[in-house]
Amino acid sequence: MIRNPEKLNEIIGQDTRKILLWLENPRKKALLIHGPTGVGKTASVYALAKERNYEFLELNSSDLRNRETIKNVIGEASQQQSLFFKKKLILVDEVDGISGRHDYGGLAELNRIIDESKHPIILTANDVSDSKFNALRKKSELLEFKPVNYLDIFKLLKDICKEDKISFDESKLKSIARKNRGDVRASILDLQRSISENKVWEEGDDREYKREIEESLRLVFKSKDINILLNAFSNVDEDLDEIFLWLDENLDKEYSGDDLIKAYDKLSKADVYRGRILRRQYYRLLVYQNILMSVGIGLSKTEKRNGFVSYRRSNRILKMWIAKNRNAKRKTIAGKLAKKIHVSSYKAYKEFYDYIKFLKDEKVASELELDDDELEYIGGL
Amino acid sequence: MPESSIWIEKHRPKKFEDIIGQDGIVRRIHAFIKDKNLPHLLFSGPAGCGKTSLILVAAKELYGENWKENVMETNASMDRGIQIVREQIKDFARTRPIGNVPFKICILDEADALTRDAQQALRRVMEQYSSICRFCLIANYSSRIIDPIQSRCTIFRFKSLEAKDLNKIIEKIMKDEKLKIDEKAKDALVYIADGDVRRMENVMQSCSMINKKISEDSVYEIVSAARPREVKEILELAIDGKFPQAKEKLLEVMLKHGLSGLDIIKQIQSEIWNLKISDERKVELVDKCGEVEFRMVEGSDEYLQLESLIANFMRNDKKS
Repeated sequence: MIRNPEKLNEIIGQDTRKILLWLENPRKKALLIHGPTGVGKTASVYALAKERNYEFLELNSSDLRNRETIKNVIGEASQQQSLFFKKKLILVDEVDGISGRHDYGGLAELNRIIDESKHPIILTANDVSDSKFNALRKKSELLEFKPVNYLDIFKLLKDICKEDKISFDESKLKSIARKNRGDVRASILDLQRSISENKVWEEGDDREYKREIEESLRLVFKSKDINILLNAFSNVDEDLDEIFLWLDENLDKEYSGDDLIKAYDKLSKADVYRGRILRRQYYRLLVYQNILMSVGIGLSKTEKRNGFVSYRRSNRILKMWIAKNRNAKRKTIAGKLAKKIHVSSYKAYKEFYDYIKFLKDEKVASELELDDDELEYIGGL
Repeated sequence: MPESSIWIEKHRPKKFEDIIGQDGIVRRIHAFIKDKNLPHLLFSGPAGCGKTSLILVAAKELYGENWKENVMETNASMDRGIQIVREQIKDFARTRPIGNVPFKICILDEADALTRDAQQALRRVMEQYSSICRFCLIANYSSRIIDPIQSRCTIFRFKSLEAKDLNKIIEKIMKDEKLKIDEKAKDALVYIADGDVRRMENVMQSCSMINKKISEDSVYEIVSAARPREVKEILELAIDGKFPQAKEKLLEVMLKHGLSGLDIIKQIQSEIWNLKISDERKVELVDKCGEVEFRMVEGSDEYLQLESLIANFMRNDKKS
């Protein structure tokens, strides 16, 4: 049922003529199509290439996109004429997924190539508001794709049902269209899932908007392909500490036994590098840290893993914060105790459990001048 | 000043004659005090063997009633950085002593926890103001004190108190606090103290809260309550292959008791010997503990490091 539009006018809800106008009269070398996911950015470029019979070259976020790769793949192509005397079209999909860390130098190289290219280059992105895209925005003609009106999506779903001879309930189609908030691809997928093999409706679960980090975890936990693993985190926005937490939280959902031990060993080593980087500000070590986190963990499994596991965000930091607040009382009590017994408050804090029993003694409590909150804390232990 | 209700304070020696154990060191410090002279001191030795008590006795002897005016103890602070040396310590060291005394005393407890930078700064302060301020550094391990400071100090290495000394202390407190302690309970106290008087007296006071008659059982009961037992549970969960539960328990224990990664790893390491696994496996796991402790020092997430250690407990050998 999933269908990729073959012609530009099959794209719904977007002003695709503007792409054609740009192609005919490119005031700027590149066209940057930006907008939310699933509204037809990539699909319209595909459709265009097909319809107009372009020789089509694509680089997307599943490819490594550092300076070297971008130069090798697009740089050369942007200079050469097509072998078959066809017109050439270059698509760099999801440019906001070019990672500053893993795809080092990628954006700068892309900027250079756009300047020199002999062929039209189309870029797509969700969000190019970041200042690192300043140069790119200036060089490109910007075209915004907006979330598609739900009635347009509804109409599309209805057409699909008619074409595939599926009996449908309008209200259900509408609800699919509505809840996907302008995302055409997600709507079609939901429709597909709602229909069992014998073409009857089946209620599915609501789409949970998947996060990039979860996709990356899936790659790391499931794959054993070194090329996939190397780039697993390349289009993740989360900062590294967040990735550590995700890995740590979900590792034991996928791995067990010796695989788990091995994977934890890799994660632990990655953390050692992280500590060294933090302390010495020696960022070159990031390379080792990142490889241990991705390839290291990925290759710790004895075989490729299948099956769907849903991942969970770690709430450890929150828990730690709560505990820290609770233990603040312990700290103030330890401080008072320390002054009386000639030990450091650090030591009193650590040896706290040795004192609890008689901290509850009235005489001791009044000697330490414990306040009500502190007394309550001790009482609760 | 009214007597403290906390025993380790109440029963702290007040005169040189009260001090039990560490005979040689006590004699020499006493001699210094009689001469009204004192070099910079570095006391090293295990916890609860009398290091702080000795310097406090010396200060009281030297300054009398108002000893606090000329003594600084930098132990109320959690801060171990250079700041404390440059501000509090320096401010104290450079002002003249109060009254007709030759110098002040600055007691730096846990000096080995001072950062290297702080120690470097301290070295200058010690030199500059040595005419009016003497330092007494207290540390568990003197090796963690930088060489230039060690060379400026007279070093005294304290030893854990022996059983006979601990017994003398028990007798004394028993009399003062009107306790009843049978021989078995005394042995138990000596055993759990392991040379640490502070710990022993804390246990005695805790026991006395329940009953003035202290029994062997009550001693062990208090001790086990003070040492969270959950660590063993964590390890057993892991050995049974229940890693997710072990990991959850680990976090819970750390947060509930406010334990650091190091606290936990110490407990794991001593708990390994009580597990039902082969001896070879125990040695392997202790080795792993060491490796992970090292990684913890170098790394940034203690919890994650502990998880990687606990994962290793799953790798079980064929039951021996």
